[in-house]
Amino acid sequence: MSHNGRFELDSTSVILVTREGGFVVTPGLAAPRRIDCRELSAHQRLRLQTVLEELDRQRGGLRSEGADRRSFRVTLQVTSGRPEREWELDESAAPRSLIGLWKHGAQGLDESDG
Amino acid sequence: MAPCRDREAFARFMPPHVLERIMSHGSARLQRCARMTLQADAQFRLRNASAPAARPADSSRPGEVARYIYTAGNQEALPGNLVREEGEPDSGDIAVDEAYRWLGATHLFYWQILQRDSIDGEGMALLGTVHYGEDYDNAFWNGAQMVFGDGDGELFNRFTVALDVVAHELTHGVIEREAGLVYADQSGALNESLADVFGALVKQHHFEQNVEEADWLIGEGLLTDRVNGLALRSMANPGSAYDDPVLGKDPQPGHMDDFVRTSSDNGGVHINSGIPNRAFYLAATGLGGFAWEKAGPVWFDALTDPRLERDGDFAQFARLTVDCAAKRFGADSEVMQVVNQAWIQVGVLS
Repeated sequence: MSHNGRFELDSTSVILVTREGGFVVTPGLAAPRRIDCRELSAHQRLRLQTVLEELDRQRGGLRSEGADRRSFRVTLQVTSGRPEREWELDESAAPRSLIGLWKHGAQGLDESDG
Repeated sequence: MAPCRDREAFARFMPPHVLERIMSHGSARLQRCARMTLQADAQFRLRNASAPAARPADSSRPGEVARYIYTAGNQEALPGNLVREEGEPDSGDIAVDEAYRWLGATHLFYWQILQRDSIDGEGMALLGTVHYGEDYDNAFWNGAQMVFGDGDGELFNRFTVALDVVAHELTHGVIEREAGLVYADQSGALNESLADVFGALVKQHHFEQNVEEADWLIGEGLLTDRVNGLALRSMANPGSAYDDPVLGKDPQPGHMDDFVRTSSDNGGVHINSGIPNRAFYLAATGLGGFAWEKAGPVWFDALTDPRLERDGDFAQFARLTVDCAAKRFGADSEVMQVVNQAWIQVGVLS
């Protein structure tokens, strides 16, 4: 895994978005959402690139205090020989576009980030 | 001594629970790195935290509850707007009034049965926020207050609907202030189990159910009619609470032979909690009567025992419950033997 380096999504890139933790932990909800860049429009891929760059700027590893908090794990799978990347962040720090990605898949990339 | 050149890497890759484990078990250099990282983390939080609103007043008299219920108005700012405080009549908002009622029932249980005055033992005000987020399928404890979502209406109802869910979240506050169990791996699963155990006890106490009458379910009423399931967890039969096309099948084990090793959910804290949950169920039903009269106090004694370490595992807690049972009810008492046998049955003790 690598952080804070340039990367650019291409048509072979695959993103896995997983929501973890919370009072409700079920296998169905914990299954990763898979985003295949081959299936994205140019606008959606650009949007996804922006979302991942935002995650890259955030400090990794920070977790909220307490219990039953949720977090997101985002994995950029090996593409074109480049190393895999992974980001983890609290739900409270997650941009809406990431939550939309988990909820609606690629269609979530068409939503505006509030 | 080698310099801690890896601090940045620690900060980026190590979740706090891993850092805390390194603090306990790592080499001297790793411990130093972990300590520096946690300190930097804390400083970062302080710098980035918004100024917290002043906490409302705690209870002024021992055993009296002080509740403050807020609404987040489907936003995510905490605590939100105050809707109902202690002594005020129903607000007409069902989530607000459920939170008020169930926090009261939980406080009453802790005071009457365990002689504990609120979360900190000193009458700490109980803050609950409802209507958190949009279609929010979760409830949590954030270190200062309890927070409840409305659910999405498709899979989950509002999270205040179930008394044991409210009591579960409040109990996380008690655990935090007593054992401070690290929220990962076995200590995290123990943390979750204790929140379930006292959640179930509060419910049984409120509805005056003995061990045969109790359903031993966690989150009964939380799942909508569209879900094929009874609740989120079963203490009697972990792994049997639901089996649904969307949610999947309840993954909880009820025996150490089936312990789940995973990196998700902080090491499976909501999954492996099924094992100590079942141990409590076996102890309580083995003893009969009301679970809060024998098994409950034994579990609370163990939770508040200073020998319970922050990263304590199932076996350490099990041994403490046996020891606490002996202290409270006598060595070789029926209670001690039943508690010991319960942990043997789930494969934690041998």
